[in-house]
Amino acid sequence: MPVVPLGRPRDKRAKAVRSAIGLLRENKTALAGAVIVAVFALTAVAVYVASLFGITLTPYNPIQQDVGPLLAPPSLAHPFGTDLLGRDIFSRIIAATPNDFAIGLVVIGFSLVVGTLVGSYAAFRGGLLDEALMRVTDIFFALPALVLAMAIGVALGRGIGNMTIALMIVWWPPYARLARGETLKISHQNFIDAARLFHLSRLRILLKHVIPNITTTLLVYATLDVGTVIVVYSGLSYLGLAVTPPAPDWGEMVSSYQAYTISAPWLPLFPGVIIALGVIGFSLLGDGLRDALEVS
Amino acid sequence: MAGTLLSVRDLSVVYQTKLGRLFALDRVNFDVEKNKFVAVVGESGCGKSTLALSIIGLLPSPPARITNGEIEYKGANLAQLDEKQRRKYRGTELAMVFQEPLTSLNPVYRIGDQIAEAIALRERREMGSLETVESEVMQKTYSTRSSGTPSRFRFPSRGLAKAFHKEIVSALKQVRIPDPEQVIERYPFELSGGMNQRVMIAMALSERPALLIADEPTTALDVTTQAQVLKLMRLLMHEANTSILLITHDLAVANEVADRVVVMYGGDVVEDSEVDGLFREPMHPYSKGLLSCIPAGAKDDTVLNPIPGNVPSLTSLSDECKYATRCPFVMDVCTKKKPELLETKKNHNAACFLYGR
Amino acid sequence: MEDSRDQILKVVNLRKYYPIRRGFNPFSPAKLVKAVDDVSLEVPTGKTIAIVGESGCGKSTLARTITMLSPPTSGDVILEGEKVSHKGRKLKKLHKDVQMVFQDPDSSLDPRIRIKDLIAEPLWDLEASKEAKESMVTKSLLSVGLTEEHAERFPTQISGGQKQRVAIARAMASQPKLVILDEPTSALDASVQAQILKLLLQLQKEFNLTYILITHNLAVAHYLSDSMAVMYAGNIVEHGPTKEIVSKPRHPYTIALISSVPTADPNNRKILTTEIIGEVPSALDPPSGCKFHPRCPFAEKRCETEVPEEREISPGHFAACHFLEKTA
Repeated sequence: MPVVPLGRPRDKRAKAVRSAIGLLRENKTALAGAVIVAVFALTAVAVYVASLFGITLTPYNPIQQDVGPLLAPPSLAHPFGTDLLGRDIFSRIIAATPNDFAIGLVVIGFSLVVGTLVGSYAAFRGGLLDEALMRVTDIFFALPALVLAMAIGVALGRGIGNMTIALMIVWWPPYARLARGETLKISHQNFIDAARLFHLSRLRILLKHVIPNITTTLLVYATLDVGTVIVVYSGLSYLGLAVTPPAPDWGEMVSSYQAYTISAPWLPLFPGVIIALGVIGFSLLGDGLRDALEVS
Repeated sequence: MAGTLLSVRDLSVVYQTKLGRLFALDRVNFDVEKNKFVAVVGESGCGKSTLALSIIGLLPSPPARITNGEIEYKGANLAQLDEKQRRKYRGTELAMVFQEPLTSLNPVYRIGDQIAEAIALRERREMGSLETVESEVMQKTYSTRSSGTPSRFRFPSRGLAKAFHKEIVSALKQVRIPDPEQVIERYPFELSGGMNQRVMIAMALSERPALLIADEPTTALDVTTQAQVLKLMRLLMHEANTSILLITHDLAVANEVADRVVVMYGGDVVEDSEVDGLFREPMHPYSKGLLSCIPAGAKDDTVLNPIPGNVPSLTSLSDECKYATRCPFVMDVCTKKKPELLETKKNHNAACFLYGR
Repeated sequence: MEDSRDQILKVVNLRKYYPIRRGFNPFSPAKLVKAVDDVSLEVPTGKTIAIVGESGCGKSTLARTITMLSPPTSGDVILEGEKVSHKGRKLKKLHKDVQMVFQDPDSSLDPRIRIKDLIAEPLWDLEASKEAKESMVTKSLLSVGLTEEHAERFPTQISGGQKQRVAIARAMASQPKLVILDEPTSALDASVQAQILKLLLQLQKEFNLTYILITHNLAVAHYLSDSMAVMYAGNIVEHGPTKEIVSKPRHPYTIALISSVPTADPNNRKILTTEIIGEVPSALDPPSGCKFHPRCPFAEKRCETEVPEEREISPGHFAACHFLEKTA
């Protein structure tokens, strides 16, 4: 008698990749977003990996002064121009990519994981535990991001690490709320009841049935959210809390270059545009992802 | 007898979707006579809802299109009218009641206000016509410009409900709602499904339509409530001088309340008969199959004969009988030509080669 | 014990009340929705009992209470002679012997899991080899009329009727003794419904199953069941052999219900002549005494204050009404 094999078929991963590419091809916005994000990601990875080997991938050394004339407008040699100390802006922007990009992913990744665990567990258990966890979430939700970041900056000192921690602390509550809402929706479905009747434990049901079904919504939200982290983090580095000069950072560049907005507009323009582009890229990707996943 | 009110001739509707074209209706023919109760019966996907929407003019027009045919009503061909012209008929001559009463009524307005809106529309329409309409109420409610034309319509408001109070109570009484004075103040979520459906019918009838189309109006209701609502509909057909076109998947309901039954399958009309004729002697193999699927007794004494196979996909139009692949009486000609709807007995038409041509 | 061999399941004085909070005062007493209000039932082994009623009568809640998905407020569920509890070893036994097929085929299958893995779910903690489980799944799949090509698909890729078959295959995979069918065909077309009903009968014979059929569709109940219990507003108002209840209903509600069911028989049209007034009562504020009294054509003073007790009309046929002689 022919037997149906259980477990995943080997070509599942190939199928997933093929369907992702198919989705992108159909949806132009998602494609545009994906391209932008991919460029940022590749740049970030390349620069970081190269730096591990001591190689700088940028045309000029980003922190070296006087590589060109001071405050030079964009030219072939310096596509984004040079700043007040003669540093090549293009190189600085590229060099800042690993940090600025990674912060977004780290904060969102943390928020996704913690938020999902807290929210879905609370919704699934219900009752007093649900109430307690949600009130804790509310407490964290009430903390103002910038004020907390400044407080941490004063207490523990500045720097990328500490600022990332500050952002992680305040960023996860909306994910918990979202996960809780989605879990509540799922827990009314009959397949959850069916799983209970098969004597699956609550934890098993949570992991096997609930989480996979809420992932889509959370992922879409997360993708759209990355842009926001980038902007907020840029704000922190604009305030001087994040990165210590001369290390390049987009937000810090906007901050220190803003005085030249009239006299040398290319100075604050390019870092600002790059931040905006990062946000736009993730937004488009998130929108496209949501549209594509809604159809399926 | 009365005469033909609505005549559907060779109506074809196509949906253009991302996955291709869907031939929802393929040259559909049938009539609705005055003061008659016609039931259109079929399973999901047969096109009955598309038919209803085409008649009332609510077909979602980007994906769907009427590609052929006429819908003759009082001398006009509704299928050819544009949206603006359609609106003259929709809600006025032709009214519709839908399946889910909770989503048909606006949840944030009271019942009285919503019925008032319908009545106000009717009064306004009548006032705009060439005949003079004495309506003190209208004059109180709407100020008119110096040229005498009524000013713009307003949202449902408490004022409207007060102005039309008498008419609203009488509309609710017509649909046999108990305590109409109380119900006027209620919101839809405070009423049961059956009551909401009666309100929907009241609103539909407030325009005094010649034809009331009901798309699965009782499917979401309990069986006792269903009996009440169907009884009401038959009663109103006589009281309000309206014809009724009922869309349903339930053959038993059709047997109980309809004067005429139209059976649809895969976008075609396969049988069209006066009710006794269909249920005493079904002609088309699909009608026979459908009737023998309905459990009508205990497992030991009745035999259920499910129809083998599946409902056809509507993605292509071919010159053959759509039921051929599932038909126990299939012949050679069935896969070569499409059968026409012909009169096989008095008042009883069927589209099947078993009966010639 | 004679009991547990003849009656695989017994429900004794089962009550399920839901507290509802109205208003903001946390100290005001909660109102109770009495979804199931003192229900007692006997389910004979190897047969089908239908629990029939309209929306809000409590039949679905009853199913959830029996399976301990929502443990009862009071009363007992007795499976094969032993009381069932919602915890521990007894719950495990309940899950082994009792399974359920749900009403909505779309919501009863996890859309992210393949058909074959859905059917295999009840076998998750079975001590057997992977091959043994695979063959059990295949056997289950074929027994409901599906094929291997369906096994690899996702629920979104199959039809409603096929989804119900999967739900049935899944419920039967662990070889339960009792299966609760909650409106198994309500969401399906007539022709598909007939296929599923025949399948259910066939499986019952093949595996010697006991069915509890929850439905509002009297025709389906009449076809499938050997005995029937009619529910109204949380109570069983009449129960007994199906044939008798359908041909000689005695409770006024049962009479009204049966006469409201449309039939495809041109010689037997009845719903236009039924006289049923009013609506199903609100679960929060049910009528006092006999809950049907506001709508009952035979009601008298006594019905407003006294809850009627069950009386035997003929062997096995019971109805709870003060004035059964009026419907004889």
